[in-house]
Amino acid sequence: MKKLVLLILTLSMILSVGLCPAQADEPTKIIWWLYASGDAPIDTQFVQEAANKYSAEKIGVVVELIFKNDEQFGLDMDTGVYYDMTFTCDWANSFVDNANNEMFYDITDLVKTATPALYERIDQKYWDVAGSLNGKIYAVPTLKDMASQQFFRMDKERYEAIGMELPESMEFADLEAYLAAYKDNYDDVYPLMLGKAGLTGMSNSAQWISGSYLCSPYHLAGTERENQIIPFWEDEVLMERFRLLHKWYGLGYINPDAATTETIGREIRASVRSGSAWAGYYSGYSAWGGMEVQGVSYAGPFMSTATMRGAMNAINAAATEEQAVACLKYLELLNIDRTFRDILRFGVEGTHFNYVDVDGVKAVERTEQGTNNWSMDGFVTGSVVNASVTSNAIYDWEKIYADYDKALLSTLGAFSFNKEDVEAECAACSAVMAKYNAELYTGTLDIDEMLPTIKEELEKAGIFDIQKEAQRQLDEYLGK
Amino acid sequence: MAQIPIPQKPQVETTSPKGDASIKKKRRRFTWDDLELTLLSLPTVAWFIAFCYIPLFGIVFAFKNYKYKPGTGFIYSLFVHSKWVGLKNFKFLFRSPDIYNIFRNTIGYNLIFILIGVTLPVALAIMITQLRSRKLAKVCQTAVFLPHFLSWVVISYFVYAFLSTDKGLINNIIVATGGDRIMWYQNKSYWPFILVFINTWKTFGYSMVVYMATITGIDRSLYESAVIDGATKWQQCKGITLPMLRPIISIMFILNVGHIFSTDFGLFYQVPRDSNSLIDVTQTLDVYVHKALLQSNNYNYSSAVSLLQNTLGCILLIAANLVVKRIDPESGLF
Repeated sequence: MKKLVLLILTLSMILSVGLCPAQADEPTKIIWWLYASGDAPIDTQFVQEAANKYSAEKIGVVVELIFKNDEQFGLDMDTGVYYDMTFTCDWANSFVDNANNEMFYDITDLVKTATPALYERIDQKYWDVAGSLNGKIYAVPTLKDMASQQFFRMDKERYEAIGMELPESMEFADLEAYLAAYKDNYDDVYPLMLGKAGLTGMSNSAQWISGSYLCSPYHLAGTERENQIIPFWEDEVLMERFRLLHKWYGLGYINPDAATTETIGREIRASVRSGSAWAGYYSGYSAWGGMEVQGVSYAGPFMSTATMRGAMNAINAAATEEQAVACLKYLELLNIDRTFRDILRFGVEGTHFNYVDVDGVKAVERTEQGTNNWSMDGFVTGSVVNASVTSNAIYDWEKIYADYDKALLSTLGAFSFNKEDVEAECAACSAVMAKYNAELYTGTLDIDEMLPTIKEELEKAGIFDIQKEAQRQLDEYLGK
Repeated sequence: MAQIPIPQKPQVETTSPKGDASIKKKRRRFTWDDLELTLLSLPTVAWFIAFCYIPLFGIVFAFKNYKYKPGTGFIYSLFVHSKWVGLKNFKFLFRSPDIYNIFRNTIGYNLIFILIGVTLPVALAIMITQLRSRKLAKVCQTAVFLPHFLSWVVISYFVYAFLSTDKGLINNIIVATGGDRIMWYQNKSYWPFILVFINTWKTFGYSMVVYMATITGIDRSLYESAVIDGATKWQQCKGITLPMLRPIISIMFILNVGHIFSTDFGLFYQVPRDSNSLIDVTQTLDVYVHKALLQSNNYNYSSAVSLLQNTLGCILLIAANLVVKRIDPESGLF
């Protein structure tokens, strides 16, 4: 019996030491979930230590970085794994769904009182449109490219070798001449190599309301169809692109098994790749395929909730106010302190990168360890705008942001579709589109031939019920 | 080789069904032997409780609209915070325009698999046991058993190496002999055969080993007396081997019937490389659920579908067992 009492006492002592509240001068620790498309970077621990040393000194907050992929976000959010701050956006760990379910901390007032510098740093329209839902602020937008501009990233070397100058921008249809010339001159790769995701970004001329079937095209702004939510087949711009793509597929410009190819690996010298970016992003030498490239813009810039919600950080609704303030302070530091921002963006100076001077601009040159062991999309660890530029791609964020005033802004404002009442229909429509997406976006399928079938299936799955509900919500929002 | 316990037809006929029942009625004392056996079964029992019975509470997902409430636990969120929605979650499945296709594929393929799974491995097991060279028999057995250990992802790459449109082996042979390339992954008419072939290739080795083990266990003296009576190989097979195999065949059959609404996701999703052109012949229930819910993480809908699959499967299993028992009272599973 004595032994048992002794054991219990010892155990409780050990436990109480562990549960002891942190001493006042110890920094507050926050758990931060970050987005990773694949595995976490190898040097996470290393960089985290360096960042913690800096932030503990400056603001008394340290961080534990946990990288998660798409699926992990969904499961971990729904089962209540604890975090303080998480990555959220329009395309992963859905901001709208989570905010609607009250998963995030309401920071409407807190961000103004606790971190005024952060509130100042980010433009009011981004707080209003991106970080808010139903008038309350739930997330801190990450400053990056806030508009969607579509580019073909083209093989400059080879096109110039056959005497074709690459313009700064072109129409989507203009690509055909380049593909034809490429096919005539080079026979080692198809002119337009596509994976099953297809020509990514080509559908971004519309704001997507639900899946890849209901949209509101930007080009309808100002017409009598403005503010209408329509099925994708009523968007003539997109339909024309489907037709062109199918024509190119028929002409042998696209690899025939595009619809079943996972991705086009970076080792393949693809003459055209596509993506959303900003002026100057695709220029100079590219490690993908190892060649000089140039970006040619074919659409945009467009701005909407979707483009502004490209990357954000939200705080757990279950966090204490103290933790929430610590998170905000951390984000504030990332937005105003470039030295700190560069640590999380590029790693440890001297190990992962070095500062170099390029025509008077302080730029970053990554080392091999930096490229291999601490590499991710720029928006993952915070503001892209506040980080240094890299020596191979110098661009002026102030100018890019000034240009956003000229971008075509969605007339839908901060409208977000709440799918709760039509969830079954949405899932069924997604399943229908999942059957055709890969083949539509790779040009494998003749849209005019297949459209009646697709329409019929979507109708059965309830697309018009969703459309009606979305339109009702939109009208209600605009009427407000 | 590890001995697989196989229920065998009793060598000595019991006197009558009545006699059987009277033995069962006697209360038996719990002996030391029983304790030993009980202890031996403990890990398995624990495994079943932990992984099969405790998770059963998840069935409530199918009737709830699950929402997590921050700051509470998962159990609280599920049972208290989430609302009951009745049968609404089942509606999702029947909104699909392909529902007919999905059920046709799921049941159709499974029926074919069951048919082949019963006949082919039995036939081959008998043939291999007839081989005179033991070495050759072992080699054959190992060779057909190997694919069982490959994952579907690996197999899907093998298949791709054969069928790829521009680099595939088969297309290269066709072109070399003057034919036109076939776009295998775009042409659905080939796929029912390809899928059945691949599935058979992967799975029949395993069932064959089960049947071979039973054949090895058959009393040799039966064959000896048959030979003395002048029975040919064919007669021995028909008169001794097949009747002896009957109980195990019916057990395998009944178990397979229980899975008739579930399909191997790897076979129908990975092997056709999720090619949309093939979807009419490759979309089964599991594939559909995966594709429809991939983006939305909706656990309610997927629970509803799997509850439906398992309930129907369970009913069919019991029915199949009853039918088998009606035909042959000793071959039932329970």
